Amino acid sequence: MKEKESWQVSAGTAAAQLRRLQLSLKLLLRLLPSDRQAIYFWAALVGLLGAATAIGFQACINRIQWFLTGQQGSFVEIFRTLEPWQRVAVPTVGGLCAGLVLMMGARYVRTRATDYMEAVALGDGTVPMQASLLRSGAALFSIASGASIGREGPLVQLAGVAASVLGRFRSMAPPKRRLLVACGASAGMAAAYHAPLGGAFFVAEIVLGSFAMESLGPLLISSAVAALVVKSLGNSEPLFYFTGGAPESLTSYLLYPLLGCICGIAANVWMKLLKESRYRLGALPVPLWVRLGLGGALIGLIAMRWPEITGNGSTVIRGMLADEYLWGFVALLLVLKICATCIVFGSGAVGGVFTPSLMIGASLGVLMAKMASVLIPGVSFPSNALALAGMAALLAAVAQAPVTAIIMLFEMSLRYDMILPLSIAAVSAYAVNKALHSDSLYEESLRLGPRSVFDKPLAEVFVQDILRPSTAHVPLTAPFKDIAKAFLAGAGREIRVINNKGQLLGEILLPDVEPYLREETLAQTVIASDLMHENLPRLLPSMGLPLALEAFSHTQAESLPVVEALNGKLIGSVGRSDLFLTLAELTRREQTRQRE
Amino acid sequence: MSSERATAPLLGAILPEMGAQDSFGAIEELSSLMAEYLSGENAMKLTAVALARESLASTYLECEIALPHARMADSAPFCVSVGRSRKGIPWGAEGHLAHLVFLSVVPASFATSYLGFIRSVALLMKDKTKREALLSQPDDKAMKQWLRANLALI
Repeated sequence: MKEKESWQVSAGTAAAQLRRLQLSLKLLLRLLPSDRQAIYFWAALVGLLGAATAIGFQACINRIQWFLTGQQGSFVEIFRTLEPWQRVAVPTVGGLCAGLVLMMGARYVRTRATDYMEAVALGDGTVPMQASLLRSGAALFSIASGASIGREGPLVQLAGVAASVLGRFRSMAPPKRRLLVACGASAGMAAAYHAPLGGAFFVAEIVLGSFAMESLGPLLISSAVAALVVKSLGNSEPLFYFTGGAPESLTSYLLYPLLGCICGIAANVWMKLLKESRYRLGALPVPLWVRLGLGGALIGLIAMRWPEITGNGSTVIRGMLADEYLWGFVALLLVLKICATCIVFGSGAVGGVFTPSLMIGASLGVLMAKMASVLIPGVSFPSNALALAGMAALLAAVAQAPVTAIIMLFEMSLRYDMILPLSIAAVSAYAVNKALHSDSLYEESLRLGPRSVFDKPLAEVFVQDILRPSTAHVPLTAPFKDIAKAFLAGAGREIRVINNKGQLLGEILLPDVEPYLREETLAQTVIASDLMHENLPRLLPSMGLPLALEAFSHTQAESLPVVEALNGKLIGSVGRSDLFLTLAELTRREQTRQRE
Repeated sequence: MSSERATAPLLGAILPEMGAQDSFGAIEELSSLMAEYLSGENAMKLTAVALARESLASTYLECEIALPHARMADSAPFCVSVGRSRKGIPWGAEGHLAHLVFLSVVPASFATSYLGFIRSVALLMKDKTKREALLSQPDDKAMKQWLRANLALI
């Protein structure tokens, strides 16, 4: 009697379990996005991660800043309140700490830190975590002690690391992992500069080199999510908002192409100075920590008299937009900022020169406005409008990305009436800089970074280069329940069926499974062999991508299995979207090579 | 996503009184009747393929029926033959008695159609009165007629 009761209980439990599976699978079938749609979900998640990274990084900077100075906020304001000896001590200590972190860390972390830009533009989307964290840790000390360097580099790098880790955790194929790291970078930029469009376009134009919707869509999603998170925390003000100052007369518009030309030439000189400083200071026969400490001390010595050169320059830019400085002081700040950034950058500090470059552009704009007002009396040349245009022009030239420059500066100021002058200045600067055959700010990363499959000609790229090694599979006798579980565990829309030798026998498609869930007896009787399709195309590792594309044209499957040529063993799969992303990137690079 | 269009099977031979004593014997018995619907190669392979599938997992359903099947080359027609055993044939490791056996030949690409067919058979046979009605048909012609009236068969 008892036996019968326990049998009834277990039978009831099994039926309930099966009903739950049926319901889940039906829901899955309705809601499961395609491979291409899924990337939008991951992009949004990466946007969240990027925002969290940016917020966390800023919180760490604030903590260290408070520890070193007893205050938090703008470096310029803080340094004004410090005693002269403290103005030297703080950046010196920060430099020494940054150097020690780099040197001590190098003993334990042997991997070279791959820049997020290298990982996306050249590599396979792998950003080494330990090495990146180490460099970001060092950057924290440099930035938090007032070094004249930008925070966007390490911040974007961290967001890229988070995306890369997610991509590897989800066993994504290299093309998708690359796109995810790009999304991380755009989220980081959007969070740092409150510029969702700018963040996405920065990565699309500079890193990916393409505005194709396949990549721009996910980039926009991730940067929008990151910007939303930052905004929801009450940090939604544009970074460089100013009132008044838009050009009114046609004559005043004439100054913008001229400013663009000057910024184009200035960008060329600026890039050479940065390169030279890294070469010369890097050759000093002293350990890295001494070099960084010396760099900090030099910044401190300048800051004793002119604290405006500390930090990335955003406080001074705001001052220029508010027309707070006389032209002589702006000229002095321009020279000092260039020197200070070259010292910090040259000494080997980790950080970016994005915002310092903006400050140089703003200074050039202000100086031009002041000069024009003297030379052409009676015409109004608003210095803040020219400062903003100068920023866009210098950014367009140093990054060789005019679209990004226009959009970013528009978002940073939220001044729609400045779009026209920004465009004129940015495009002129870009054209002049191109004519001078200058290097881009990010050229070095792209020249020295790791090479990957995307750097090869199409004829040398094979299925094995883009395959995803893990693919969901079940044995031939797997009961329906196991198949349903595999689909629910996120197997995608296809599950492979293998024999006990690991050889591929066929595939089960998700839509085939759903109708047979309603019949419990049937669900218990059906096994993998009843559901599998045996005649779907399969790929070989040595197959070229055009052949793989042809195989995809015969099926609607989202991914195709890859089997070993000799024994038919299943070794992975290739996603349709991964193949398309790879082909698009290879074609784009081939075209770029031909143009060059 | 599956490119297959749902297709009804062709109703093949009917065996009103099966003589087999076990599931393997029943499959052999029905396979020999199916030979006239298949080309030479498919006819030769049928028994072996159906037995191989049966050895992977029993095709017995709880409503006293068994649904052995063989997935053949796409050149084979989608067809089914039915056998009846009033005393029942012990089926699978647990020895349940199968009174009706539906042996199907399924072209390899017909996964959806096959499953659609066995679902409809299972649904029909779960109804005890329907099952008894089929079991009580006097001969193969009456069985054929009854099956065509109650299942989507060609």
